[in-house]
Amino acid sequence: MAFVVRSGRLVGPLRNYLRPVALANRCISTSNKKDETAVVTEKIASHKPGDESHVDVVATPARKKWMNYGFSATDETEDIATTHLVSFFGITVAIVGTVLAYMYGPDHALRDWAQREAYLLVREREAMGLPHIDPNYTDESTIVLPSEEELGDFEIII
Amino acid sequence: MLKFLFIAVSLFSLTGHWGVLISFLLVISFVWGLSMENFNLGIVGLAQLDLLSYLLGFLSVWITALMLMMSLSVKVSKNFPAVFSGLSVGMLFFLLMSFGTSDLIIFYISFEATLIPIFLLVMGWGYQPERVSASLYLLFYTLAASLPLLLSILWVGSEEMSLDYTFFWKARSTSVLLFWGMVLAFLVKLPVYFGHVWLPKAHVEAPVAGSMILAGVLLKLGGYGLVRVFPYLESKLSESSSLLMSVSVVGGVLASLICIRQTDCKSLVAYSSVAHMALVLLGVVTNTFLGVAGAVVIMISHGLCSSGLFSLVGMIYERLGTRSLVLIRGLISMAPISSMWWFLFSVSNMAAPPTPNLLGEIYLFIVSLGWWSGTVLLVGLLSFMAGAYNLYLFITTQHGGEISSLSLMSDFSFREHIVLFFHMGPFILLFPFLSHFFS
Repeated sequence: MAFVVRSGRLVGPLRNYLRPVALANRCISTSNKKDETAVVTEKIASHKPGDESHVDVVATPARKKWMNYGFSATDETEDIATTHLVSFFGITVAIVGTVLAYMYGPDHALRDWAQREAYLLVREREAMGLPHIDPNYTDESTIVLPSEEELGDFEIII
Repeated sequence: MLKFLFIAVSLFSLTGHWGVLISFLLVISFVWGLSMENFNLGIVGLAQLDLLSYLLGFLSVWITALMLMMSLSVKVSKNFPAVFSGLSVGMLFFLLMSFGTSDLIIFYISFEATLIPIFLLVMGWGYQPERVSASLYLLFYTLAASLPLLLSILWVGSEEMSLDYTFFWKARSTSVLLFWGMVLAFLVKLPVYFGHVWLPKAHVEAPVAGSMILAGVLLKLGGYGLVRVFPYLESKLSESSSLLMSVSVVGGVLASLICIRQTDCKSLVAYSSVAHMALVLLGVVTNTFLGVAGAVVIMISHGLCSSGLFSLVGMIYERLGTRSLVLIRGLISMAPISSMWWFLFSVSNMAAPPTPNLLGEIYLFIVSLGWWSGTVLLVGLLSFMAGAYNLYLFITTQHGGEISSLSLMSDFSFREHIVLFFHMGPFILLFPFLSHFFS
């Protein structure tokens, strides 16, 4: 309780820390001003090997260079597509999905049920005056052991 | 189980488009991951019988996806990529069948059937001429040891009314021949020390993908078979347990001692697989719940960790053209980002916290000490040597000055990072999952 009251008093000083952070974060757009002109660079060669036509820089905007993801040495589309497929299905679907299913799934392996059942049985047995767990799993009177003659030389390993 | 088999068969149509095939496999692993409703014995929901089948099936699909991601050089060099991916999918089909079935004879058929794809992968896409001999060793060791298994299964089938696992909980058998007939095949597959000769050969000669699936899943077929078959052979198991325990523990120590003397990275990781599988045998032979739990945890975590180590070695081999520990030096300065993965996998292989390897080893320590307190020396030595050879691997490859003729190497691409992340991510995520299931 004291903790709640004391931590409430932190709000005031906390504002003093947040204010300069908020002031430093100046959200100003850095796009080109209206009188600025764009700088034109050399002609950019296209990515596919053997493709001799060069891209016309003035007509098309500058492309990001293809950073090879390792899935294809020659085909950019296949490389990027495979990267996206593998990342999505491997991480988002397989890993995250399985973990989600495990954490939020219904009572799997019946653990919660077993706990509830245990408490119910304990209550029943206490009401009847029985011990919680009987040392004998089955009723002793139902067990029929073979006699010594029937056993003969049979080796009993315990 | 049929649903998964149909899905696996449909993957054959995608063998031309690797990106789509890999994504499909990842989706299948997700679907398999969802089917965790009930882990009781008996065919409920989809394919799995119980937790062990479920985990190993998940591992199979996951490692198949990762091995295809790693094998892009097969596609680039146009080295029969459709056949390669077809063999991988065929292997997955038979693996899912062997882990999903509840019948011993179907398990045997699919156990043997997985030999054909791995034989063809090692023979067809391996790197050196020695791959011919290596693939023949792999095939004939397993085949010769599993012929008694076939005879034993047929004999059990004629004695019992069914070959279903659900009828095996009664320890009915007292025959020595039957015991060794059934167990020998799995001992060679695991492999334990005396039947381990095929493993370093096969791993060194296999392509990266072949090594990944071999170490990741195929060795676990041996452990899985033992877990399924031991309840039936319980009385003979208690008589032979001292022999099997000593073979597993001493064999593991010997394998780890041999491991530290290797000059080939892949051979080193292969011998570390022998040592880890010796631990699995240790756990299963003690015939306790915690022993089997430790064995299962080690199987799953070794599957991911060993597969990751083979991928790492494969990535270095693709760049430098060598696997020799004499020549691969100074990677921490040549490819520093890869050093992070080298560190994580080396450290996981030596059972450092918070990896599930540690969880499995702790369970197995408890169980082996309970079996006989004298095993503390040998299991402790096994664990110590694991630390030793993994540290040796890391320090030799990463530290030191690079060989000047091999000093030009690119760091890992996105594909390689994501393959290693897919090994490591589930590995770390599995720790709470497995400890929760076996607590």
